[in-house]
Amino acid sequence: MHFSRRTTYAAIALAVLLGASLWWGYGQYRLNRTYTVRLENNYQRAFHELVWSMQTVENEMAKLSVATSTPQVIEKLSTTWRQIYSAESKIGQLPLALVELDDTEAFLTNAGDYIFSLVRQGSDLSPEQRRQLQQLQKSASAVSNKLASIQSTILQQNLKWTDVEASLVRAGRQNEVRDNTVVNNFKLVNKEVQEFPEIKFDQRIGVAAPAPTALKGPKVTQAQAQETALWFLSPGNKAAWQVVSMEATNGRIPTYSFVLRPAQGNGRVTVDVTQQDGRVLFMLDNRTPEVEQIVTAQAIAQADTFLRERGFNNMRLIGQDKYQGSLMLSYVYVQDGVLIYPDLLRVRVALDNGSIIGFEGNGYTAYHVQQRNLKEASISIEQALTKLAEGLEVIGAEQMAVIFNAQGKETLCYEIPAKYGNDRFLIYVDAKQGEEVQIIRLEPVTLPTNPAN
Amino acid sequence: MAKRLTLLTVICLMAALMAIPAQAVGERNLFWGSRGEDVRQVQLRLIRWGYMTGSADGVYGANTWNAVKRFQSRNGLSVTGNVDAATFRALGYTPKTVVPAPTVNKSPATQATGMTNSNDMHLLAKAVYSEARGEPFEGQVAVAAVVLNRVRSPIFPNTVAGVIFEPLAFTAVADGQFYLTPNAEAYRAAQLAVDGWDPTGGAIYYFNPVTATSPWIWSRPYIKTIGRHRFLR
Repeated sequence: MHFSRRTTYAAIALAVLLGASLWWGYGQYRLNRTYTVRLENNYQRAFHELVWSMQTVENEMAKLSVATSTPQVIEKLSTTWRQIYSAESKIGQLPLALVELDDTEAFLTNAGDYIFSLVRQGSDLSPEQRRQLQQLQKSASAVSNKLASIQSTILQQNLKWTDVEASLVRAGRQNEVRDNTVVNNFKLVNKEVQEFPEIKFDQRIGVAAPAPTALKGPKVTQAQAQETALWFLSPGNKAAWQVVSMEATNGRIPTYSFVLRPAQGNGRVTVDVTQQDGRVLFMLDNRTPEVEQIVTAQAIAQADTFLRERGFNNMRLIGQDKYQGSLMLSYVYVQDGVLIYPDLLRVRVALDNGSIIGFEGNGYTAYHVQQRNLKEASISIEQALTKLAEGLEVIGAEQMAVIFNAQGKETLCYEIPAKYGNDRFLIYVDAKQGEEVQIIRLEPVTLPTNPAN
Repeated sequence: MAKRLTLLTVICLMAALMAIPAQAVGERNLFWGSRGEDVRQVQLRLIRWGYMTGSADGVYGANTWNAVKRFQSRNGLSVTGNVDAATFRALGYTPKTVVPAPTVNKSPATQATGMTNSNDMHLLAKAVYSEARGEPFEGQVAVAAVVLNRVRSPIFPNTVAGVIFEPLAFTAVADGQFYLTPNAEAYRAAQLAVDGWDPTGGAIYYFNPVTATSPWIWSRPYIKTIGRHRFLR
């Protein structure tokens, strides 16, 4: 075949054009993808924060019904109000313009206004106001449960908001309701609100941990720290482990961080020893536990032995949690029968062979001293009980405890397990001032593992 | 002309990128929008058993959804339209166990994070998996710990979602890898971090020195290195 010069030029020009468009098209495609992911991330964030706000609102409202000291009440009211406001703005950011959420939004606005009026009142709540708040809490609880279930659907099925948006636009155009889990569930949320016309909410997060106070001893050398790490892993046999690598770290508590492996067999364990005082801050074994062979009681016995052999005495088990073949146990130090919550440590036991595959002593390392100067309580437990909100039912023996208050100061308290409706709480009443300093709302499952037993 | 070519190019590229993933039947739950070999297998069975007409195309759409609902209602299952563990079993497949989310423990000493529910645990596990899969286990715990340290830090958002979805905070969130399904190890790492393990000593930044593009990140106070990541305050 023979082409004229003109045809050849045309072919070359076309080829160049084709190449350029391919290049350009691919660039556009990548750009489009980047923006879609970014948009999706914004939607996801707004949604997950909405759920968090609603749960905070509900949780704080639950605590509000048992709070009695005015500062606690005001603080919880303010948190609630702030979270309602945040929830409203998050709903506005979601691509739900075509879903009818008017009632939900009206409910949020009304609840927000009501709570704000209570904040401004600046005093304790009247019985009538408490009743109102309980009503609001019921609605908030219904809404937040529904949202949490949408959240779990979204997370487990990896649903995309950008897809929801597309289907809403389609549905709007065709004037028909598409079957869409998310959209349908949002309609249900709206329905819940209609059924409970009044609402209320609340929640706040705990105190930031104060700076470490207990590390006062001399600085240890790297060699000393290594001895400690080897001893911690195997007190009887220091040749059982070999150091793979070491790094001096400069975190919140400076440590020597060792990576070790067993002298025989495979494995990888990290042990951090504090540079000051030479205490073990944490131990983390990378091993994945296999099929469960031992029962909880055996695992607890293993952990108790582990702690005793390493010089942790007077520890009380306060919580346990089983997950993926291991049992996590929380302990606090006990002095003269008082639970010292700042001196918290955790041990993780593998349920296949009972070995200890994790130790976490951030609290214990930072705050533990052998003998605290615990002043006598200046109010009796009977007096403390009179500080509780009306309608609160005590469901267990009280217990003396030291916790951090809102200013991060150790405070001697009465810990009182109590019930209000279906909600269970641990209420902490200052044993000197008689004020509530902390309210912990318990999940139904966590109660049996609590210190009272 | 250029426009049409572009369109063609894009279509070709899309087709190449959307190649149907191979999944063993029962390895994941199926629902409207799922696609893959496992969907096709389920469709074949539904067709053979007379619950569905049409062809098995490997795409879970209205037709499949209706068929699954019919199947569920006739077999005494809860009618969800999704193929979950119970439905797999009724269809004669062995579902692989789905990783359940761990719980959040509360005590006066541990209430210092914005964690309120197990869905936050899913978010955390997704962050760990997308950012640090392939790292040693303690490196995965470390990434989860950084997310939680940020939640506690006054200069970052105070929820897990806020921290994770902060624009450009995590590369795996920006490029969409975040939406992968995490494995059991990622969940274990997330759980450990929530329970208080922090191999980073309070880090709020980390980066991979091989891929880091911002010179600014080198100016933060260094704490330690775990796997391929450098952790910073």
